Amino acid sequence: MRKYVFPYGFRLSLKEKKIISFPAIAVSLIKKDSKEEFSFLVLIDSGAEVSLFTKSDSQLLGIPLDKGEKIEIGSASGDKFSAFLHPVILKIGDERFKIKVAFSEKDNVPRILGRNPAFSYFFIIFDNKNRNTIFIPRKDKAFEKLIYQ
Amino acid sequence: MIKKSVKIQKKDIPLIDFSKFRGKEVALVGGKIVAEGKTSKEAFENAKKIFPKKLSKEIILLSVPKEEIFVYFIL
Repeated sequence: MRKYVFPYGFRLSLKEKKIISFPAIAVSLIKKDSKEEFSFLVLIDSGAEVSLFTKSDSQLLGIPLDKGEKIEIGSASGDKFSAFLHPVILKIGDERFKIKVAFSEKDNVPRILGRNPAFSYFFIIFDNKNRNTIFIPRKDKAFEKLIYQ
Repeated sequence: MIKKSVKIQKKDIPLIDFSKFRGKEVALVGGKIVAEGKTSKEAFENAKKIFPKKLSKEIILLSVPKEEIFVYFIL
């Protein structure tokens, strides 16, 4: 069974030397018809419907932001903004998928790996105790068999 | 039977001073912050100046949150 074990991706040191860590992984984005890969550390967020990147990320990839399908995004803090869906190649480990991700109209948003459709390509296990996130590609049927038989 | 397991090394995980970098874009090489900027493009270009031979994919961009809350949904 093929699997990827990612330690929680980045740690923030806060006041009073408190350190918090996040389930985050490095993913790569490749623009359609391009070979250049750009890498981003993204939060794995099962609460987010789509994967989100910044306006500047679209510029880095050479994607014309406002040519995509416009959607409205809201955050738990009450913040609302527009974003545009664009097809890209998303790379996690050695796995590549052609999916649509959202690029925000602004820059100061956190990058997020959301459910649709990225989560559909993997079983994802949050091992919070050991601070690991485990990605098991769905194309390998062994794990699916194990949990559903 | 395990055919393949890929484990990312913990040494590559950056420790980021929130008070210093909050709201900024940082560029990481080998788990260390090597450049920063207001945007990912700026942080990437600053990192490229320091590491011109690095492939684009070897420079990892991270958006350090402004706040501690970041949960999104489609309206």
